[in-house]
Amino acid sequence: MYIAPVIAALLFLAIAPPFMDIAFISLATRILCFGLLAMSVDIAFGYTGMWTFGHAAIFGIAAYTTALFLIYTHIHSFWIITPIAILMAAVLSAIFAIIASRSSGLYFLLITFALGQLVYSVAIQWKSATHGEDGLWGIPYPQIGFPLLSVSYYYFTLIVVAVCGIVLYCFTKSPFGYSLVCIRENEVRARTMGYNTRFRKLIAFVISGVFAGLAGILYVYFNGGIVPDNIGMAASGMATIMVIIGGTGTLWGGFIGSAVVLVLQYYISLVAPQRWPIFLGAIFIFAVFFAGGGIFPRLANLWKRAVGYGNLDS
Amino acid sequence: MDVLAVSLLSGLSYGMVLFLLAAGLSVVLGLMGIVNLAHGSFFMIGAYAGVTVGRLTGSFTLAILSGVISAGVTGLIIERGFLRKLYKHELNQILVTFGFIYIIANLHLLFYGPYPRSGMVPPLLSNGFTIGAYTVSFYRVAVIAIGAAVCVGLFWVQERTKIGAIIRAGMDDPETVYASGVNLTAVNISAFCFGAMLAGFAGIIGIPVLGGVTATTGGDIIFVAIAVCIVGGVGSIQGALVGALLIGIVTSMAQAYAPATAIYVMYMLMVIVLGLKPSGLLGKRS
Amino acid sequence: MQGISFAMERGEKVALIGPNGAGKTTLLNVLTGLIPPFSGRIDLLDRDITHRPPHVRTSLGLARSFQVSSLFLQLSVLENVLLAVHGTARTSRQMVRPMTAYKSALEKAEKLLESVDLLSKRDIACRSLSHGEQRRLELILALASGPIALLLDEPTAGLTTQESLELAAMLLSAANKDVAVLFVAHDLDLVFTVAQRILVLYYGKIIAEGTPEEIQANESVRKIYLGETYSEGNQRCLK
Repeated sequence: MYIAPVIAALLFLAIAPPFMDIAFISLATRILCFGLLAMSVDIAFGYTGMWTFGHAAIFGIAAYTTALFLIYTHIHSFWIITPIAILMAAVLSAIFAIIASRSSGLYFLLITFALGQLVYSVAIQWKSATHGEDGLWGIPYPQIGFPLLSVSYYYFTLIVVAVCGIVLYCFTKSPFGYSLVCIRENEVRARTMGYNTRFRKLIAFVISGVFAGLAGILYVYFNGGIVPDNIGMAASGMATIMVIIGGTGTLWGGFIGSAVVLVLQYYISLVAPQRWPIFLGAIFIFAVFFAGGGIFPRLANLWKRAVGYGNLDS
Repeated sequence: MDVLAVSLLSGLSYGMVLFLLAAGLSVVLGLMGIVNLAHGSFFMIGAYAGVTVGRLTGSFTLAILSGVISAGVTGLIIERGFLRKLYKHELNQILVTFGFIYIIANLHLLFYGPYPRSGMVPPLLSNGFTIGAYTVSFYRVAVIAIGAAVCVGLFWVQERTKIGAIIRAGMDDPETVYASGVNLTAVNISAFCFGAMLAGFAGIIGIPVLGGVTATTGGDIIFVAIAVCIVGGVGSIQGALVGALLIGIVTSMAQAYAPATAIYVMYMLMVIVLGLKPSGLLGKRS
Repeated sequence: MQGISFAMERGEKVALIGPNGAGKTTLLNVLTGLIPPFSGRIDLLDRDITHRPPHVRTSLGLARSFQVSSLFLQLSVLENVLLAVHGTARTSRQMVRPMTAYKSALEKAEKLLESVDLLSKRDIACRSLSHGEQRRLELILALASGPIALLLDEPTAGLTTQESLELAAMLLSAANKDVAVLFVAHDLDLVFTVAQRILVLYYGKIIAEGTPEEIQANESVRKIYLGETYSEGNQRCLK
């Protein structure tokens, strides 16, 4: 049913860039990275119903691990560093999930919020390793065997993100993935159906963390570096609002949300860069009152009606 | 021994500031089920307003008044303008108040610039007494005293007055309270604004204790307030006090004996309490 | 609740009745593991399940339906049943192939849907079902785990007597003959038709137990159900 728009989107993403300004390619790469982060947040938050507000820290630990390897060690191979960085992200997610697991909803959020800030504090304090607020810089494009430059790195990111998207899509349609929706909708029922909800929530959070970490890795190579601000509460908040704008529980909504927020940020920063936080705050408030179910479900419905399908309810 | 005494006093004064900050957040969270991430911003608003007015007029009293009022007014605007439409939708409250953190912080940056402001200390209290090689300012002792007085007052309101009873009943069973003809909404709004004013008060008297205020203080201090609520338990004055004093004293000790760990100490406390009793030391089991 | 003690035979149909607030739902919650008991033990097929979490009890053969339909409203009817089927299957941890691709689960789900006449509505979102349809779905969600003991909390809540009897008939034919059923109900017509044994719960205690005829003849039970609303005086009489 959705084959045509999906193919159109992919074609556009694949073919348009060489004709575009380098700034747009850069923006597109950034949108992909944060889109992947948003997608990972959607798994934990949209699908499983865990209100996570510290995901940028998980994104960040993978990014910092990568940067640390590249700056302080002689190990520069993408294929060695990446699994280690992802492992760090997975471990951190597990820690977050375990600490917050006995609380739910609101308190889960406050706890992950605080834990995210803890990681941010470490990044700022541990100056000898992370250079504090200045961050780590001088990160070249990854060594994957052949050289990558900004345009080819865009394609690299596109391919990685597309693969992640497909993997996560299959995951959400699998028995395990569906059970997460049960847990979100009615945890008691899910338990009496035979699902070990505590275990599943932990696994879902770790899986979400793995992809958040991957997003961090893609980002640090793209950005050439990483600063604590990229991993603090602003980033976590942004990831959440991207999911809400795009549509929670839709997976692809994350990319739409990412595009909306980052495009806005790009244009506003051209005009009034110092005042961007006011607009960011306004985006949050606006999204709460006007996002509804998100942009993605609306687009999906438009398409359905355009091709003559009714709603699920008929 | 001197170090111990000084850091204890220091921790108590810091803890009292935290108590004044977090009490509003804790009660509002327990009472109305409202999460207000911008609560730290009330602290900052109070601090900046107080300092500005204080510098202009030279009066500490006016400084305090302006801090309290500006925080209260902001609280009223946020509650009536935005939060009341989001009753029972905690996630939306979080997102909206999170947005406000940034708006308020950036506006302060715009008007006051990026450099920290230091607080006002009334001349009467600017001296101190010595313990060994260290000086403890009278101001800090005054902060402890004021904090204790406010705490006693709030506790008395909570336990002994009609308003306190309404608030506590509203936490457990709002429907019955409404049904019995009490205007719980008015009480709730007043509680929210009062909490905001308390935070503003904490801001203006707390700057000398904290060392200064910047535009990022609002966003930074909310985490401490959250930690206080998690550690002490939500919804009661006692909980806020226990959480605040514990965090204040332990942080202060860490600063004295192991400075590198000082920032992490409150997170460690939070994690430990979550492991032992997720609802907080004095919190009710949900 | 105090002093609750009873046993059920294979395939026995037992009704649990009693006035509101007597603790019937609480009892079911304790049996399924959502609330821990202060003391005592629960055995399923000679196995002590007192300290086991709910999901383990379900995999051991204990299933439960809810008084207020606890469906996954956003999902379709088929998805709901599939989830219930997968819940106790080895496939529940699979993360790759789509849920609908598992043939045996799909067949089982379709058979269940057919038994309550919902197969034609398989792709409809649950929130669009009528109340009666939702109660039927609620029932097969419990049956999907292939239980040996089935706890039904007011399965016919909100249904007319006619619909209730239809549901009961569907239940009896769909469920394995060996399944022991404990059902909470207020509809006494249904109870006396279906139950082989009745337990009467009153303020946390079982005050009567027996066949439908014995219960109908029981003085205290009659006082509760047929007499005036409960009053202080009555309580002293009932001891």
